[in-house]
Amino acid sequence: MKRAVHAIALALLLTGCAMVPQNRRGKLADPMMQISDDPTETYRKQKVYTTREGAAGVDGAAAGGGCGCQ
Amino acid sequence: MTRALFIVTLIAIAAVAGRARAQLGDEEILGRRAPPTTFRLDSIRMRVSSYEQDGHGYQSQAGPLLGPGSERMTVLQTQLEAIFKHGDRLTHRLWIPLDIITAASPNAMDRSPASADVVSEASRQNEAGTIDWTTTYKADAQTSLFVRDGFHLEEDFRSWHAGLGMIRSFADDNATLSTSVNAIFDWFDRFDVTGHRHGRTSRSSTNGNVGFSQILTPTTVAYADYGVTLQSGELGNTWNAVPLATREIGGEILPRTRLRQSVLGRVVQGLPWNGSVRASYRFYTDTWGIYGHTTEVQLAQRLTSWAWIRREIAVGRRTNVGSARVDRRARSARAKKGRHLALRLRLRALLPDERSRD
Repeated sequence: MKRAVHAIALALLLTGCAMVPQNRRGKLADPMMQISDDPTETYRKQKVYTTREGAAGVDGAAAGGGCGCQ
Repeated sequence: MTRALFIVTLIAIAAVAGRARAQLGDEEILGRRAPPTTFRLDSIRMRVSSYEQDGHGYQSQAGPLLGPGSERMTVLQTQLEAIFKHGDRLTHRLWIPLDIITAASPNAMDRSPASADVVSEASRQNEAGTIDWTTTYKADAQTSLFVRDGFHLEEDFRSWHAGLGMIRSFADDNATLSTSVNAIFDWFDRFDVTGHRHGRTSRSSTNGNVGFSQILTPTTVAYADYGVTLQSGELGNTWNAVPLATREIGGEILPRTRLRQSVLGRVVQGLPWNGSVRASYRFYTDTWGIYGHTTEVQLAQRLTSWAWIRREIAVGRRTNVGSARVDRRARSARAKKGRHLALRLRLRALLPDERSRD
């Protein structure tokens, strides 16, 4: 767990000073480039995480609640 | 005569053209702008997903005596999302997911007032629905605050949730920090492994999330997210059965608390041929000794200005899911495999205001 957190934090720190002006972000406006899933997609994935691995959380969604069949 | 007719025609055309020009005001060109305080529907979206799950568990009757039986399950999931705008700063999101599950769920409430039998009824049909309302307030160009609350209804299961959070952008929107806190309270029937009801029980969950995104290049974005959830109370469904050393069936005995943590890292890269690739890694662990590693790769390709396709491949590995020892005489026995098919239907309602702008 700690190694995963450190690796992600290090990767972000190494690249965190990048500045891309707004007039060069046209490609990023494409829905294909969305970094986060839309909420309906997140809900679908949470269902899979919950039922397949008994795990949930992250992506702004809480673990627990919902389906009582787990 | 011909010249006079030509001149009259020219004058008539000029008059009509001039009149048409005079009729085109700012509203016709730019679209009618709604007054800042107007409450209006911005968009509607619907999604339909289907899952097939296969696996075995000891509470199932579809198997040998004292042996695990089939827990095959089908889920049909529909979601409806409506976005409302209220002036320039307020956005409301109404979200209504509805799940129809064919198996692995109790059907206890349908048998009331007769004694509930969640064991033999565990392979029938279950319906679950949620109403969730989120209001986002745009405090300034960089900061948004949101609150959410909702209610979940299932046959023997009630759940309330509420949360709040903040999204803040930095460095000319090159970086974004998001945080949220959620609280969930579940209230449901307590059953034993024979399917008889013994009153009600509950559990609570408190969840926190921190996410950070960063634009790296004009075609690259990175994202990281950390989530932690503390649960306490009755953490099982109360009717799950496990085999005992005495060759009998007993109920699951689970700890009363569970701390869950997960970390997500993700990178999206635009491709020169009007496509994109997105890679994600998710790590999960909790105090019950379960570890999960999930890697996802998504390829997307734009076909036209309004259509694109994508293909997602996910590889996951879990440890201790089927053998989490929670008591000397009992162990949970849930090792489920599943595959799912998602059909995405995206419907966006263009209101007259938007049509005029488009």
